[in-house]
This record gives sequence, C-alpha cells and structure tokens, in this order.
Amino acid sequence: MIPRMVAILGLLFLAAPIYLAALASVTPESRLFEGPVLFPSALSLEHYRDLFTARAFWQPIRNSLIVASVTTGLCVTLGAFCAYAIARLHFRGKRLVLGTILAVTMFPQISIVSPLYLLLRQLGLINTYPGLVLPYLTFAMPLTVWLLVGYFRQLPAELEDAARLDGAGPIRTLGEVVLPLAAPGLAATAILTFIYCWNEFLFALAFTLGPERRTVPVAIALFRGQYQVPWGEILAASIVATAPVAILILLFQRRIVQGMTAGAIKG
Amino acid sequence: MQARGEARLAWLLIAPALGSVVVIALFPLAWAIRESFHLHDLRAPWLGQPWIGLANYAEAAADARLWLALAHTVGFAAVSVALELALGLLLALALHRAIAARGPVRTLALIPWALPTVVAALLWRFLFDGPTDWLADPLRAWIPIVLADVWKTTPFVMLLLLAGLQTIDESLYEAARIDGASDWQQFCHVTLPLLRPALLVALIFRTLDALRVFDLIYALTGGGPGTATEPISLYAFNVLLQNLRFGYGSAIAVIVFLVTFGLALLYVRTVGAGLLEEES
Amino acid sequence: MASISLRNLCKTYPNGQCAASDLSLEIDDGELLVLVGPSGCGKSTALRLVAGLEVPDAGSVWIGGEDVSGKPPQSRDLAMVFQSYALYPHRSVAENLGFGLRMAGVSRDRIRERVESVALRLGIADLLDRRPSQLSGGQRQRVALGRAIAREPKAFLLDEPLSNLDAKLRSDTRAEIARLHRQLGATMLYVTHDQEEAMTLGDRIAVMRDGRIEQIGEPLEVYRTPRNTFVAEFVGAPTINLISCERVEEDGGAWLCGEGLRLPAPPGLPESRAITLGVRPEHLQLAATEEADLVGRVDVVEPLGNATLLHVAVGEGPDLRVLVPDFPRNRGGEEVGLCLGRGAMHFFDSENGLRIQIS
Repeated sequence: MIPRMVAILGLLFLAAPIYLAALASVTPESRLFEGPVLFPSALSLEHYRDLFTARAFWQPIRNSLIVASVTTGLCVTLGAFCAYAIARLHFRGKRLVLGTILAVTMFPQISIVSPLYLLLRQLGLINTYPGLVLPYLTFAMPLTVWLLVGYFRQLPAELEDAARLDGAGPIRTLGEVVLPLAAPGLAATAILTFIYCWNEFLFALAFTLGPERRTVPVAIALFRGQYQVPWGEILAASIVATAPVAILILLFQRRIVQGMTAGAIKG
Repeated sequence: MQARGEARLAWLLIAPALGSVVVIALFPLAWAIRESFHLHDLRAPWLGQPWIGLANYAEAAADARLWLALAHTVGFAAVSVALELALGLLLALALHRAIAARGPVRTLALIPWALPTVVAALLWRFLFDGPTDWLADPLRAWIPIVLADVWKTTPFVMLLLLAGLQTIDESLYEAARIDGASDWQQFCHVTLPLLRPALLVALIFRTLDALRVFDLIYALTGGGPGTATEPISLYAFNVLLQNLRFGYGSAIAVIVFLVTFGLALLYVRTVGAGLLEEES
Repeated sequence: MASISLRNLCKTYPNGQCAASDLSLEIDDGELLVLVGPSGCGKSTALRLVAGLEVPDAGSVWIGGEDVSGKPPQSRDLAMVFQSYALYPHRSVAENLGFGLRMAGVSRDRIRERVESVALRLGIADLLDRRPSQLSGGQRQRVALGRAIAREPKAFLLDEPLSNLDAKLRSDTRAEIARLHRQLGATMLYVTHDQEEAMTLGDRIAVMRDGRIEQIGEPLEVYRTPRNTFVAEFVGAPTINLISCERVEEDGGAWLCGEGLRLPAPPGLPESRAITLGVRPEHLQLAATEEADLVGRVDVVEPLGNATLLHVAVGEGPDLRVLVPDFPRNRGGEEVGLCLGRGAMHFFDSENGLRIQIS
C-alpha cells in the first residue's frame, strides 16, 4: 500500500509541472495568471502561432537539429573506432588514454569557455555550426566511448576470433561482425548524444551571436517581452523544445535506461 | 610483428577521438592556466597582456563575491544531492515493489531528466513567479532552484538505483526473511550493501554536476536577487564574458577546475577505481 | 593438408600463470592429435598459439614447414571450431558457411557451390536460410564444422567442440568427427578435457599439465604404460587406484606391503624407495578372502548398467575402485577379497611420481 502511494506521489511530482506548463501554453494570454486550474476552460493556440511567426522559432529548431545530428553522427562513428581499439586491441598506454578521455567528463565547462572562445574566434568559427559541433563532440565523446567500451567488451570475443581465423583483418572484423552486433549499444549512445546536444546551453550561449545560429535552449532563455515576461510563448517554446526528446524517449526508453545504467552497475 | 601492427592500428582508431579531446579540452585548459597568470582585460587592450604572477589569485582570495559564490555552490550541491539521493532511493524502492508497468513509468520519469535544463528552470520559475514573490527574496529564491534541480535529476538517480535493485537476487531476501529479519533489517543488511556501487556512482555524478551548476540558475534567477543565488560558474561567466576580464576570470576558472576536478579525483581514487577499469 | 609444429613455445600470463613451458609438439600431415588435460593445463592456450590468437613469449609455430610465427590469424589458413560454435548470429547459416570464402575473395558462384556441397555432406542443407538462434545445439555444431570444412584450410583446430552437447549428441558427433577426419584426411589438433574423447578420437594423444606435455603416444600405449601417476590417473575410467606401499624384507623374501596389502615384491623394484602401486579398477577381481591379496569391506555399490563399480574400504587409505560384472546392492557392507591381475600392475616412485620399469 505505502509503496504504491509513494510511487504515485513521486510520479505525480514529476509529471505535474509539465502538465501545468502544457496547459498554460494553450491558455490565452489574458487568463494566464488567473490562478491554478486543473482543467482549462478556454483553449488557444495563439502562443504557438506567435512562436513561429513573430519569433521565427523554426530557426533555432533548425539550428539545434543540424548541430545535434552532425555531432551525433561524428561522435558515434569516431567514438566507436576509439572504443573498439580500447576494448579489443593491445597497445601500451591504454589506461592513460581511457583516463584522459574520461577525465573530460569531470571538466567544469566554465573553466575552458573563454580560451575556447578565443580559439574558435581565431579559427573564425564563432557563430557557425562547426563552432558548436566541435566542443559538443569533445564533451559527448567520453560518455560515448565509455558506453561503447563496456558494450564491446561484453560481446563474445570468440566471434571476433572466428572472424579473424576466417580471414578477416581487424577492420573487416569491426565492420562485418562487431558493429552489426553492437547496433543496440550504438543506438543507445546515439540517442544519449543527441539529447546532450539538444539540451546544451553554456557553449551555445557563449559561441553564438544571433538568431541565425542560436540553438533552442539559448533562444528560449533569451526570450524578451515588451512589457513583461512572455510566459505564454516561453512555455509554448518549452513544449516544442521538449517534443523531440519526449518522442525519442517514448520510442527508446528501454535502450536509454540500459545506456544510462550500463557502466554504472556492472562497473 | 603482429603486436606492433596492431598497436599502430589502435592508435589510428583512437587518434580522432583523442585529438578532439586534446585540442578542445586540454589545450584550452592549459591556456586558461596560462591566462590566469596574466593581466588580460578585453576592455582595456592598451594595457597588453603582461605577466602578473599570482596577483589574480590574490585578488580572488580577497574577493568576497567569489567566496560567497563558492559557498552558494557547495551549499547547493550538498542540499540538492542529499535530497536527490534520498528521494531517488525512496522512489526506486517504491517502484521496485509497487508498479508493474515499467515502460510507461520509465518514459514519464525520463522526461524531466531529458529536457533542456533551461526549460526546467523556466517551468519552475513560471510556477513560482506568478503566485509568490519568493524569487525576489535572497534566501527563499533558493527553494525553486533546489526544487527544480531535484525535480530534474531525481529520475536519473531513481532509474540508476532501480536498475541496481533489480540486480539483487530475490533469494537473498527470502533467506533473510526465513532467518527472521524485519523489513527494516532486510533493507539495512541486504539492500543497502548491495546497492552501494550504484549509490556511489549516483553520488559521484550528481555531486560533480551540482558543483558545475550553471544553466539552471542562469535561467531561473540569473543569480539574483543581486548576487544572492550566484554560483561560482555563473560568477566566472560574468567576469569573463560580461566584464571581459579574461585574466582574472581565468584565475576563477582555474579555481573552479581545481575544486571540481580535485574532488573527482578524490572520488575516483577512493571509490571509483573499480568502476573505471575492467581489464580483459 | 599440412603438418603443424610447435617449437619451444613459452607463454606466461600477467597474473603469473604459466600456460606453456618450453612446449614442443609435432603433428604429422593428416594426423588427428588430441591435447588432453585438466582445466588450466594450457591446452587451449597451445591451440590459440597455433591459431595466432595469442602471441608466445618465446618459441615458434610452423605450419606445412613454414614459420608462421609472425603472421596474424587471418593469414595462417587455419580453420577453428569453437566450444561455443561462435556462429555469426546476424547472418544466415549459408552466410556463416561461406564467410571465410568471402573473406578470401572467392567468386559468389563458387561460394554457393561449396556451401551447398558442405551442407549436403553434413546434413544441414535444409537449414541454409535460418539464423543460428533458430537452430538446435547439434545443428549449430554442424554449421561450425561446416564453416571450417568449407574453407579447405591447411589444418583444423578444434577447441572442446563437444563440451556443450548433451551425452547422446556428444557420442554421435564424436563419431561424425572421426568419420570426417577419415574422409578428408585432414590434419587436426583437437583439445579436450575429456579423456574418453581423447582415447577414441586421437591417432595420438598428448597429456598436458601446467604448460608441459607429460606424455605423448598412441592412446592404448598411454593407457597401458603411463609415464607417471598424473597420466595414470588422468587416462582411463574409472580412475586408476593408487596404493602407497613399501618394499619390506621379511621371512627370507621381499614383500610389497601397504594398506592391508601383502604381495611378493617383483624383482627389479628398487630397494629403498617408497613405492606407489597403480592398478586399474578393471584389473581387480573379487576372490575368496583366504586367497585374496587384499581384504576390504564394500562401502558403496554403483550399478552402471553394463558393469558395477564398487568402492571398497581397505586400510586407512581412500576406497579402492573395483569394476565387476555384477554385484547386488544388498550385499553392500560385506567383506570381500580382491586379487590384483599380475600383469596389470604399475609401479611408480612415490616421491616424483615417475614410472618404475620392471623387466
């Protein structure tokens, strides 16, 4: 009895703010601050309309999609190569390499924002797509590598031995045997990377200058109203910002949880 | 012969990933350290970038706002992480026993974790901004901040611990029950010890993340009212990208790095060594 | 087909375990040699060294008269059958069978021909489109064999291929492998921990312990004249009985005494050493207690179907195993006499376990 109540209360706590926000996003401006209501009496899509007309919200969406997709593609590919080498090949300095890559997860991003800004400015990459993809790649890489190393290691080594004896060199083994079998792990990693890129804020804030390249989180945070905070539009934008992530979760929740907890439990 | 060819291939495969890490993370870090020993004010370029030794650090040591920011950060981390672990554990235990429909529950639980932090911040700001004026109160402004953080990250802790709970063999509980252990004793002697690895992982990840908090507070209170809710990363951000004092800001950034990374190393050394390695 | 030669191979693992200690072995072209020993003796390591999956610390591997020590596994032209079959789960049976040929760049038509003929030979022709997960254990085993055969390699390496099969399948597949060996005239290096497989399959067997070969020879030779107590205990089932004895001078003659046993000592036994007498369960017979070499009490009766295994308690040592044609269970606890077949006694030096040759 008690566990069930606790669980339900907990889930309500998690769900309530989203529900209220979604509700508010379809509440006409005039009724927004009337006080908390559970069920709306009037519905209006005005906020969503304004979002895509006056605020051109499709721009940040486009930017986020491009940056997240490119980063994910690069990250999973390069990360898979790196993880395979660490998991299966013999070379000296393996521990150092893995340690270095993992150390980056513990970096406070703020510590390198300004040098990175200067570096990107030197390279002419401020306010460009590559200017975001590069830092994102670096910071998404450790998690990717760690997850994939764990994943590759638990694939039966005998399959790779068999492929080697059958005449496949290391690269062919990777392509013909390992990667197809690692597809679930690769998928989980891709999803987690995409979510990271979609949500990233600090670098996007620091390295973009205007609406042409701003990503979704930055665009939302910088919404300004003429007289007051435009809550209707902010919340509508929030719902829109959450939608792709929510869809990914709905489709892949099992994979995501496996990915999240993989390294942690098995150790 | 074979071994050398294999090693060469390995380095080839690692190079891009390692390269990006070195260029984008390590090199700027070295640069920040270097900058922290120089004067570099972008608003006063005529001053050049002279070496000033530890002057920036001396200024940092005397900077009241910096110490306040550090205090905010550590306090926030302590409170948030404690709440998240407790709540996460509670929910994990409850879900483990109570609810059968895993899929929909996981989906629901994951959404707060998966949405952008600034969106979460804005949601909670909306919930508090209208009905109350807490956001204008230096002490009470922390409440929506902590709530938002707990709301957003408890799912991660909960799912982690739930997965950990699911790996505990049921027969251990059965054996304990036959030996006469009460629910509480079962919890203390079976659940907690076996959950220890997962708890430690949750603790490490959450502490490191909490110390680095930026997005949440930027969007919720902007560090306000005044500097009442300013964490150290936001302070560094302001110094760097608003005051444009790159030298001093770098010193602060280095301090943040030392604190965070130092703590991380400490964790890894004492607790996580087994978690990082698994030599075949 | 080619000969395989292991020369002075040494391999030690980082944890200090020595898997191969100056290991040398010659396998003739077309021979089936079984490497047999308890787990951890290094037999699988030896196999992997031949395959190139492990690199030795010292020594070399020669295949067909050529030193292949510097070549990676994919260039050695060997085929291996794994204990867990190692079938590619995401590929069909036909693709599994043809994988090696595809790697070698053989034309697609030729691959199809070859795959079909191998599948026919092994009786899996109707499974070609299935995935490994849809096959039974025995069928998977055949696919694993087929994959090796399809490649027409220089030699076959088999790593405990029967361990994962149940008893009936195991003996059927064992016969299958023997048949294949005969038909293909293939050089095979076969690794197992099961001495029965070793005895029945091998042209020669090599018994290994701790990275060393204790004895190598034809199966019956190893069975009849084991070089030391380890080999004696490992080969032959039920396990040989080892009795600690001493040579005693008494009553004007030399006697062998131990654990209730008193036998005339055969000439040629060294005088001063402690002796271990080995006698196999099948070479002990029940006799009347007055005429017996040894008297004991029946402790456990194990009817095996075609014979009965008795555990007989004698003296202070462990029970003696005795294999008799028949013995009713209700006679357990009885006192019985045992006779040792004179020609079937083995003598070992108790200190170093080595065989003592008696003329």
